[in-house]
Amino acid sequence: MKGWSCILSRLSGGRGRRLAELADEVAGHWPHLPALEAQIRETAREVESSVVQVCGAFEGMATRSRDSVAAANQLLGAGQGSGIETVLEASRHSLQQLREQIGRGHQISSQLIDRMKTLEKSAGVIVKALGEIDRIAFGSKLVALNAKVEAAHFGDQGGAFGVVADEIAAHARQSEEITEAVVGEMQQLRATVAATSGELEEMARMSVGTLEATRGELENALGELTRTHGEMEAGLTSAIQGGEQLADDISRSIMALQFQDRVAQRLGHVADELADMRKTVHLPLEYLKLETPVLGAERSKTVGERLAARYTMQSERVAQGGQKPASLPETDGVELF
Amino acid sequence: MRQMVAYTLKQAGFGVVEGVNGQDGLSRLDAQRVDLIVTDLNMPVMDGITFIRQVRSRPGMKGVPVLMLTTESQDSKKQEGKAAGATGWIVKPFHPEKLLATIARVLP
Repeated sequence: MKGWSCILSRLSGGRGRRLAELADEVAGHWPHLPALEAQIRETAREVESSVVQVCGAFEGMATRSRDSVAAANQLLGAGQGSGIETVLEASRHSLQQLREQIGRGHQISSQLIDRMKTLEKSAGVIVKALGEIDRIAFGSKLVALNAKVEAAHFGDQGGAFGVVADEIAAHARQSEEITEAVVGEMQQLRATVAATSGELEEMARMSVGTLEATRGELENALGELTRTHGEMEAGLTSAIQGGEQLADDISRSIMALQFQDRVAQRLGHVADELADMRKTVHLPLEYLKLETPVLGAERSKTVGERLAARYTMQSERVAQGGQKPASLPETDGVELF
Repeated sequence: MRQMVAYTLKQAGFGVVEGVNGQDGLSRLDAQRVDLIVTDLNMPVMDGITFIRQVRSRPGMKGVPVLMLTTESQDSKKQEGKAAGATGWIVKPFHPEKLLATIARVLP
């Protein structure tokens, strides 16, 4: 016997039959309402839990992205003249100083060589002058000889003249000896000056050559470093833009995910209303069931079977059975057959 | 969900052919040879169990691994899938690395 036919005896006519059917229908669905309400609340909880996890992960990504952008900005110097750009600038400054020192060294070497050449030239002039003195001394010796010959012609009267001639000859010989000694010294000086001048020239050539080669290598290295730095800077700038874009995208995603709050509120309102409806319907239904215990029993079974057929998750079936729904399964729920 | 699975597989270097349901999947299998199938259980038009049975009935498809990726964790359903010819059962939500590791295990 159907549940509604039991109470039909208390109602009459078609209207009574429809009311009885309605009561049976309500009584049939009634036992399933708590499970449906629990399903709604559990769904809201799962949505919230998932969104919180997603937002947390997104927040982490956004933070890491911002950290990367800040680190890249610091590496670039961010317009504060720090980082690699500072090192490059210091290197350029050092190179410029080296260039100036090479120029100064070259200038000093040239001056020294010029002075040594002037010294050599002066020594030459002195030697030449000494030759002239030597020639004059030789002339004096000839004059003294001639005077001696003439003094001999005059006999005793030329004696004093002969003494003067001897004195002149002695002075000429002394002058010759001094000149010879000074010429020797001057020639030695000229040789020393010439050798020193040559050595200075050789040293200047070697120093300038070595410094120029070093400067060239430094300039090449600096050029390569500047080029590499330029490429790194471009790469970092691109990475910074990408990172900033990523952080913005993630922030927008986090905002979009806040739909969960609206969903949770709506589901909560529906679940609350279902609970209120149950409270409202509870008393008259209980009254009817007191008089007709089988009211809705058959219909409830049908509704239960329909729900069971519709469910696709074990947690739904558990909730229908009045148990607390199981939490989300772990992600390693893999079974190979 | 299908798009998320496809994204994970593409990121790992796999070529992916997508079907919107079991029937569409069968049509695509008729047009193209595949090395692995990942299917859901609950799908419109044709469910996953029927789809696997259809796949296994096709010549040359008996050895192709079929992984069921579903929210369903009931043992009786798993046994049904196994009987239909599923190679493995993965309960959602899936971890991309675990999915790829499982695929690596079942690929010939």
